[in-house]
Amino acid sequence: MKRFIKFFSNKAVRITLLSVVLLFACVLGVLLGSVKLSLGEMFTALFGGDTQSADYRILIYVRIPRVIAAIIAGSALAVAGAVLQTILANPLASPGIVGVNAGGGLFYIIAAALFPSSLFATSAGAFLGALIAVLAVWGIAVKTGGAKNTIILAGVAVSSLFTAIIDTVVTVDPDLQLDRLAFSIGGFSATTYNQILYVLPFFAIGMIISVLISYDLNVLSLGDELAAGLGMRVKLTRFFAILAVALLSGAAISLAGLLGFVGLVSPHIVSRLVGKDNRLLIPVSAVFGAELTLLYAI
Amino acid sequence: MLTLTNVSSGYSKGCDIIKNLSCTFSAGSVTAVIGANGCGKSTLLKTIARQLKLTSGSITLDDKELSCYPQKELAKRIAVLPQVRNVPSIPARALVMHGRFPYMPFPRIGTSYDKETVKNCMAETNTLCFADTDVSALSGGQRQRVYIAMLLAQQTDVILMDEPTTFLDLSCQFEVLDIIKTLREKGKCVVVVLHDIAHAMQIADNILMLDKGESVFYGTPDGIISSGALEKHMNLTPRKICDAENIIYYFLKDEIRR
Repeated sequence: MKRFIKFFSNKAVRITLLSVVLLFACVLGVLLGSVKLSLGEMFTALFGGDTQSADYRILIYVRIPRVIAAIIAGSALAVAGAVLQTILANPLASPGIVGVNAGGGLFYIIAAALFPSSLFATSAGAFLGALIAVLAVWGIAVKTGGAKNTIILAGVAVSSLFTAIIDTVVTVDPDLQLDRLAFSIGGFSATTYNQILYVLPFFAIGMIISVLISYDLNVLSLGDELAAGLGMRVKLTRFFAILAVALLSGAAISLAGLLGFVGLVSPHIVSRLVGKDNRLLIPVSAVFGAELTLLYAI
Repeated sequence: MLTLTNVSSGYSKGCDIIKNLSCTFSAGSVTAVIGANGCGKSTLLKTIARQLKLTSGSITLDDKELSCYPQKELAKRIAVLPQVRNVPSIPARALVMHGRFPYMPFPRIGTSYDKETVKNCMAETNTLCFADTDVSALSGGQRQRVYIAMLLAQQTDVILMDEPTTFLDLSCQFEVLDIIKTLREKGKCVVVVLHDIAHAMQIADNILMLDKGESVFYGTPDGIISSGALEKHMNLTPRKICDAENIIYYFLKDEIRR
């Protein structure tokens, strides 16, 4: 039993297991849905050459985009959550705290009002809104000193303002209530490859920034004064971190709507598995967030 | 080595905390900064560490303006241990490795020299025995020694410490003071904020006393006793106990004396 516990307390083993679970979740994500497929049916549909079969169409146009979108959205939210919890030194931080949800929601509703039949418009609107909200929060925080508490307060203020505007818009046009609900629930049922392609560059840039600054985030977690004493340009590092959060959560929100729990929960669970070193925490959070979202999507 | 000339600084415009302060801190010396709460001791350290902007005056390090040093270069010359710090949940060795941050370009991978430096600094501060223990699980004294090991890993000439003995039991306080003495022997310029004036008298070569942001005394420990600055600015009366080897000072407040 002791050997068993020791084996599973090894970080490398845990990371390998999480990766294996991700693979399983991907396969389940492809096979399961309102029409259940077996592994054999999946291979036949994909490699049998019949591109007109229902199974092929389900796999190519529904299941695979759903799996890819869930991986992108889940890993993006989890990494954004991990980065935010570090730079704000707040275990309750998640993308919503810097105005992502309210900003994304407002622009989603506005896009739905202006272009009711355009899926692209709503998803681009959500991305743009998330980005604008985060940049507004950052702008206010910088004007007032750029400290972590001012970011949280600015996030709360911007979120409240945007939520109030959403309420006003929905009051003026009650038909938008359904769109608001769709955005709040989130999901991947109508994800297209185009949507994925549009968000992919932002997702990639956000991920690259997060990985590049992961050690700096470790140093920043010692506190601003100590980090500055160690030669870190604290405001610049925090800006890059916020930029990464904006790009990642904007990408996630435009694909999936609101999935608040992933950004909040994933870093906490992962830190128990691999520790709080962001060089491990960030990539492993990405894997775990993807799994969690895939299971939700199924 | 470190020269302050007519330095004024503060947290907001038009409200200077440090006022027109001039002094020189030399290599191989310990300077204790003392004074009542709110007199500007921590502000002075932040100003020297360039975390606050000067409103007037200048600070030079080896005859070069402090503002001319790039941030990373400054961190290779001046190390600072602030009073308030987060306690991260990482192994002690990883925390000490953060002291090598100014020497680690992207992708921030420690070299064998960095690892060796960390090991030596932990040995100096007697922290190697809990190198793999989580910092948050250490006692206050152990934690303080780990933070000092991190400062040492920065390999700077100037070390600034803000109340390094606060919240520690007496034995741990002496451990920290001993480490400060060894830093002086190594030729470091140590500026340390201390609330315990008896400790300051014991370890410092010079004492800088602040009152409302102004320097009211700068000189040797014996000098501060004879100057009457303690009575005048802190209402403290020094008393001393002597034996064959030691002179120990203690201080009485006016009301207690009566």
